[in-house]
Amino acid sequence: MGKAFAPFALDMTIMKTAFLYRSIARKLLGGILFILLAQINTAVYAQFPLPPAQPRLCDAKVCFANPAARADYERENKCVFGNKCGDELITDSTRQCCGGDPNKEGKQKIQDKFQTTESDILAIRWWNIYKKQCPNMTQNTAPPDALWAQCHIGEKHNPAKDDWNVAEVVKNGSARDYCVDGCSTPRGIVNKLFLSGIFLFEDKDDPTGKGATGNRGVSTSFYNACAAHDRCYQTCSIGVDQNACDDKLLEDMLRVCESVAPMHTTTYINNLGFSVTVFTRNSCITAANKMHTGLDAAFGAGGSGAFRTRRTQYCQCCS
Amino acid sequence: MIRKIATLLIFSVVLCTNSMAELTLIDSSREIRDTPQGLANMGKDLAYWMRTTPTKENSSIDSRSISFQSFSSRGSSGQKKVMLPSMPLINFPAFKSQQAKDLIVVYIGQGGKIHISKINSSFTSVLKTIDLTALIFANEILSTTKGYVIGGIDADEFASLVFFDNNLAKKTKIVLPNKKRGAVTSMIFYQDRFFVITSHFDATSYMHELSLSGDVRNTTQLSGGGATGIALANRGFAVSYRVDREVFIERLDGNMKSLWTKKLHGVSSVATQMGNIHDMTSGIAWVGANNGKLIVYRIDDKGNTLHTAIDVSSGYGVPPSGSYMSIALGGNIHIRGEARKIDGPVDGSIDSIYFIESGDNR
Repeated sequence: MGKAFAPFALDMTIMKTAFLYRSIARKLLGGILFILLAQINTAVYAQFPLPPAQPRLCDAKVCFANPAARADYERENKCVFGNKCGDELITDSTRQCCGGDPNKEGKQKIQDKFQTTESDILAIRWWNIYKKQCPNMTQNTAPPDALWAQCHIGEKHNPAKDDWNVAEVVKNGSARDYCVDGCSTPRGIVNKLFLSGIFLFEDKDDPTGKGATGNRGVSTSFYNACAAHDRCYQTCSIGVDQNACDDKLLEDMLRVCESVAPMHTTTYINNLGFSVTVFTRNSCITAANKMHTGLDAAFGAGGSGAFRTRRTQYCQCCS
Repeated sequence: MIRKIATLLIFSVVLCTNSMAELTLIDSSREIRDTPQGLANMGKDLAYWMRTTPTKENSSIDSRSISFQSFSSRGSSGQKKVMLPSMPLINFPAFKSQQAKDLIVVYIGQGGKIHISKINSSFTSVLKTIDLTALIFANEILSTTKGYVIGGIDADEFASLVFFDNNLAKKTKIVLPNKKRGAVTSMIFYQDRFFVITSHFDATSYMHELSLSGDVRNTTQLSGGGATGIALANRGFAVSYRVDREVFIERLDGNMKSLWTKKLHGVSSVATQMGNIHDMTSGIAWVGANNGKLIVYRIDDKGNTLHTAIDVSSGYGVPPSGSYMSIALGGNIHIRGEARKIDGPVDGSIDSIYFIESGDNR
């Protein structure tokens, strides 16, 4: 019984050994192939890096009331709103998508964030179009871009255009911070106003106040009026247009002038080397008027250009 | 009380001895804000008052239109308007013409740039506009047979002149001698000779004779700073300047040699920075402000005061720019400016004022 079983047992042992060897060989071969394939894959990746997986872009042309509504839409439709504006791609951070709900007025459109040198009339036309395209404009909550990221105290908000540095950064809830540079009258105009005797001092924020005998100190400063004006340009509302902001600035500056006694005088040395005395309130009113006129004049570096820049920079139409 | 009575007595004595007269306010009109103004003296008793006339368009104020009317007109009679390509910000420099020709206006517009616009003779359109980059500020414009000369300050803050041909096509800039920071404050034509007064930041001033191409022939230092001057018909020149806190008027002959000097007043409180001088044929007149009031002196050719007129009743202070526009016509002096009443409203408005001084309105 035992002998009869002996050849069978031997055969079984041989078969098991063979199976084991085949199994080991197959695994070895598989490992080698895996390593080879992995090396080939690595080589392919090194030569042609694959782009990271991108979620599908939502193709609906629609605006949302708020970021949460947009996020709900993206989750439900398994897509994201990327840097497309309608059918166009936004290729750089100097441009943004603006557009009203197509069921209401206008359609999405890419617009420059930067100002252009347009005439006053053209700028007014721009505003009339913009407020129709963007009837529900809200403060921009998007992450800082190349332009907005430049808002740092002591640096220029827009190095290409601005003459003066940012003086203050003011928190505005979850929206972009207000960027304040005070009375940003272009340096060339300040110099000319000084030469004409209208600015007593070459101080853009305090043309009639401090620095000379009889001065009123910081109480005649236009800084607070101008800071409020900066915030006004950066406030997104179709009801608050450039004229509203500018007229409020004049009103605030005149209130500063009114705080000066009628007979108060300021004495300073003029550009011809002589001591000159003026009625402080009178000069204050004229300085306020000139600054307001400068904004009305819609200078490329002054009025409407700045308004357009700030509105397109700080406001979003599609959340 | 005693001091007040004494002051009144002294004032009355001064009135009696110096033929002090009161200036008469002829016209005033309320402007919604300070508006650039200027004077174009075309010669032969023809002068225009230039000013921007704000209009409300598209809910924004548009002040690009400039109006021209006779300097001695009342209200808006004879007013003509021209639309400028850009809104002017600061008063127009005085324009003085040697002969009838199209006038040019120089103004600070977009972003602080200076523009020159040539206006057609009927004051209906702008013929040409160019930028003036050679100067940062212009004080005076003179038209000559060869073209136009604009005097002011260049970018390095030197007193400079820019010469243009009649078509504003060719230009030449010259910086006046004595490399000191300053400005051209007067340009004068006298017997086919060209003179320029420069005033400098160190309170000095000079009178230069130049060729019409800008070559300096002769220079004389004046006795004070912040100087202005005019030519007197065949009698040389009259110049006015300040020495510290005193204002003087001086007569010079045709070769810039002094004939006499007279102190007008000591500067008190609010005063004009530079006065205007006029040739009154039989003498000289000085127009300016002192102690917060408009004042006119008439002086004979020997330096004796004939009349002094002071605005003591209108209630208007000195123009914010510190200067008036004035011309002499038929023995009268016509004076315009923008001013506020000391206790007036603080709503940004300002009044255009117009005075006439006739020399004998005692």
